[in-house]
Amino acid sequence: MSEPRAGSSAWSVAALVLRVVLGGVFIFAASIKLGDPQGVSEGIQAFRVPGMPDHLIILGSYVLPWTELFAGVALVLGLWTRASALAIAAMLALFIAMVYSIIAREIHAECGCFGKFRLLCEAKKMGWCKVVENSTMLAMALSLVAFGGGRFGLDRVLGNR
Amino acid sequence: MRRVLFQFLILLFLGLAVGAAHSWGTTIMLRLPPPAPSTDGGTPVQTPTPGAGNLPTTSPTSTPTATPPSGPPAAAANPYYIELPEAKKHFDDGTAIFVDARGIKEFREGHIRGAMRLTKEDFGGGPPAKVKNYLVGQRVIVYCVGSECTDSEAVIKRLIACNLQMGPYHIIKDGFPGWQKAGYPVETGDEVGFE
Repeated sequence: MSEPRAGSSAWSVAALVLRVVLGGVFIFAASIKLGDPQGVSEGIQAFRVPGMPDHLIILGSYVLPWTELFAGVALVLGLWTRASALAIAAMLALFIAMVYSIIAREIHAECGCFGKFRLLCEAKKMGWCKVVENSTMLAMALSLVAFGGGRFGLDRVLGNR
Repeated sequence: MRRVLFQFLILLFLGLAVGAAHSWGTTIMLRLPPPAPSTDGGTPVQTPTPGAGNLPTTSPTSTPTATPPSGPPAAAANPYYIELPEAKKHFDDGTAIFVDARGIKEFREGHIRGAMRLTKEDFGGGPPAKVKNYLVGQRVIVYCVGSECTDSEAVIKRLIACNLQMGPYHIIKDGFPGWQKAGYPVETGDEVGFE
């Protein structure tokens, strides 16, 4: 099986679908979090990171959703596709590590990911399903980092590679 | 590759800058402030307190002393906890509104008789009407599924942030399972009387 060629029609269509789905999920997640910073802070606290200072939790409660929003919008538009996919991949890698640490430490915690809504896993429940869900999205993001956003995006219009 | 990394850093910086600006002047309560002193016959009220993990708030605040509402030493770990007998006494005397912080499915399967269903998600667009209509001036006893559950604390944080005249607040340490196990009054179905 040959790997997708960055500029091919098939990859461009696939990349468009990946961008809209992945970017859309992050825009949706960001919009929920931006409406409830208190909930985001509780979500961060639920991970019980030892020695995490209060001001970092508070700052993270605002920075995380805004970064999700910027990266999601850029990905959907096909603007700075590789960079926005890389930002999303970095966030997903962090989420996977955090969820895994919760599972390993046998901590009961709720996921503030999509509020009361769900993607593949049961809403709020933190477990292996969430690891699989995030890993799937991570694979999608990494494929965009590797092969770019295809023809249908602002990068092509602006001459970015 | 260098260009991608540069764009990546710009995205992170944008998130950091706008997030930091957004956090300016807003309030997040990382942990519950010490409970307000509770006096029988008075109208004790809980208001947000600066410090104790709070960002500065623009609203005027009082500085309540750290006096646990009551309860045996076993409940001292969280000053908001009350044991089942005390909660039952308030239930019998009608001196508190009981708030169920669990999900709709669990609520319908069984809840404390006459409890209001109120979850942290209900505060998305400000305090729900039933908070203003039924909780102002009331002692509020919140429960979920026990001491492992953080939903009760989350609801109380949001009630305090409403800055309405409510409280004092308590959390039933053993939650609904404890209440049910003790054979105290429960009912099933949707909430009644808080429309």
